[in-house]
Amino acid sequence: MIPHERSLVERLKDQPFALLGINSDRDKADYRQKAEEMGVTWRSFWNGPKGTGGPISSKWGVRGWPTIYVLDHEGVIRYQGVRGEKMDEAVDALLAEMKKGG
Amino acid sequence: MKTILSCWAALLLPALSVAQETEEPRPSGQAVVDALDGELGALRSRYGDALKELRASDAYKAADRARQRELSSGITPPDPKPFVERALAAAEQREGDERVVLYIWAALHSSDPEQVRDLVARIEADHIRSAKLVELMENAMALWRVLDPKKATAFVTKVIDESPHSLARAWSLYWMAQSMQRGRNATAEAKEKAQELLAQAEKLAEGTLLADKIAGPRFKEERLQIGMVAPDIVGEDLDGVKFKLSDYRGKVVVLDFWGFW
Repeated sequence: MIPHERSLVERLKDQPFALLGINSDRDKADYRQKAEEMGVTWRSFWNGPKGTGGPISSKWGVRGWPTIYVLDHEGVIRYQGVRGEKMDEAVDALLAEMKKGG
Repeated sequence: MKTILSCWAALLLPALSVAQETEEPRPSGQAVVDALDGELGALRSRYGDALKELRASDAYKAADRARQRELSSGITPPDPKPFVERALAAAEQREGDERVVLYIWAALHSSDPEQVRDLVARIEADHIRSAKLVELMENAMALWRVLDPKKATAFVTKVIDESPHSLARAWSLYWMAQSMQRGRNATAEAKEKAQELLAQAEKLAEGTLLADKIAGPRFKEERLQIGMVAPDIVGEDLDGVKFKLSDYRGKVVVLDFWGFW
């Protein structure tokens, strides 16, 4: 999962695109070490010391991890739960739509 | 003169040293809990790392299932028992809320059901009105795992009836509702009753994470459907820098709720 996201971020680094996490690790020091090891290059909101029971995921009613939403450049939710190749296709479609001025 | 002085000194010194001993500040119950959390947490993360390292090793990957199990069993998880004992020893030297904090920590970390039962009984008898009970009730699900369900229900009901602290009551109602609607045998009636408890809990917990948690499914239904503008998220990243989801307007965004764990 992380390698896939890393390559997506790398491939689209010059595009108007961002992968944003809501990270639910309880311990920030642990997170930093692992992020370094695994090459996590994208930014995350921290869900706080309660981990998956933290404030952002509670508010958004997240029950399964990972949970994924894809938003277009206007902030509209366009896809939900797309993983792997499906995530790439969704992002590419929205970038193309944006370029057409749609 | 000399003898008189030394007599004085002999009289004074023990008194002084006694005074110093009693004035030495005793760490608060919470400080003891934080220290225990730190030590046990470090052992647990070392255990997790050792397992990961083993599973990534060539020797492990090449081994058959039986050998893999054998290799894994060489790495044992930390035993919480000595830590629970330290919490209990510290509890005996303290009173009131200071003691409750330690009882709760012990109850949530002990792997001995008998001990958990005993601790819950002590809390029920002497500390049911303590503000510190919030911490226990927030994790009350653990009680249903360890205690006989009837006992767990009785304890949680008592908190709902007697605690003057709305958040302790709210968490109790929340877990009571969860225990009622869980499982295949939950009747329609039980599920309806659970919804009532959740509504009460949400009201009691207004403005807290618990209220958001209860409202979560509704929020998802009403605000997170395809075609809707995503609600803003205001928070901070893992370096402590504040930012908002709406800072990224103008870009296609993948929002990914994730973790390493």
